[in-house]
Amino acid sequence: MTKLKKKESNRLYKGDIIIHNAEQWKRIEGKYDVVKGSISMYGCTGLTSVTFPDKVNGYIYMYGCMGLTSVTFPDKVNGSISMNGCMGLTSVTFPDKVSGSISMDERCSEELLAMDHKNIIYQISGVQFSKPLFDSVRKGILTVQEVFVLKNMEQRRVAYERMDKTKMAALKPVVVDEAADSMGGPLSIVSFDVDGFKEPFLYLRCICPSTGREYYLETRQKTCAAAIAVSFGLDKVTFEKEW
Amino acid sequence: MANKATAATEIPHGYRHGDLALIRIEKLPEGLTGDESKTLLTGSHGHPHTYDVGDFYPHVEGNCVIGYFVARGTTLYHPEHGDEIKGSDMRPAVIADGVYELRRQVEQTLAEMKPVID
Repeated sequence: MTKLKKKESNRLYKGDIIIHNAEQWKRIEGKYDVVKGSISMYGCTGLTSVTFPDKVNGYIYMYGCMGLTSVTFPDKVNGSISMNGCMGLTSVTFPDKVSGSISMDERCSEELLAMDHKNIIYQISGVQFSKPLFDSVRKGILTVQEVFVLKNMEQRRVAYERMDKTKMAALKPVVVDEAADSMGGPLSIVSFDVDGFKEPFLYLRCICPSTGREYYLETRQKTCAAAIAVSFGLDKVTFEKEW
Repeated sequence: MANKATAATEIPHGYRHGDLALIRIEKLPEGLTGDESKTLLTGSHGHPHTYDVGDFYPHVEGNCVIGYFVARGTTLYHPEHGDEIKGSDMRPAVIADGVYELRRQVEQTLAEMKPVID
């Protein structure tokens, strides 16, 4: 009994496991029954098959493991599962019990994306979408009008990034004002009509100084300065620094 | 639109940290209760705006004000907003000592005001 306990103890790993290549994974695969921690696999392109421990108390994160064709998940995962860029994986059996979400991104195979599970969420560039919107964005079938009426600003940003920019001509955007933010980044107010709306839409176009992401922030203001101030509930504002 | 920030200058000023603005004010409003949380604001994607040193007073007023903050040698941290440090997952942003009103960014739409999702 003592030996069994010792054996069980030896097959328990406490801590997070981070894997960067197939060789690292092969050294530990099958060594543990239980992992009390998370398992993260980054860019293990040479890995074709993975069998996880029976139980994982943490998240399982597979990022850019493009060569994977077979994954055996634990029976129980006390955490979330992320499968980003698993383009070679066409079928998996999800755990019986998974406490968090199962996320997939647009680089996963069509077969994987077609699988059904109540915990599945769909992400593009880390932004969550409903399945129909996810499919519309990744396949580029949204019209420019549909992109700009998306209520969630991050979804709008990602959809705009993925959109064929020649579609913008359909809106006939008019630049109402141009300026620079405190870091010298370009700002502008653009106006355009969207079918079904009587008033034109106005957006503050800005670039995040930290990430370089381009945002269209809806506004009713016609100057950049007013649009920034009002977005923070102020009449006027200046920033010493913006990140 | 109400401007509750009583800045020392005519035009409120401070810092913008993604969808969070720290607007300088002269002193803390009365009746606030401090909070030991190190998270000033968390976006819907789970990216928290955190800090190392200072006093945080959560207090929601209207669409934008989410609280107050007293900075003393404070550095803000966020995975995306801040100065890039090679090899680090977090980006630091150093702010000057002082009292700040915390405001989150909103969009002004045809129909409503809603929080910016960042």
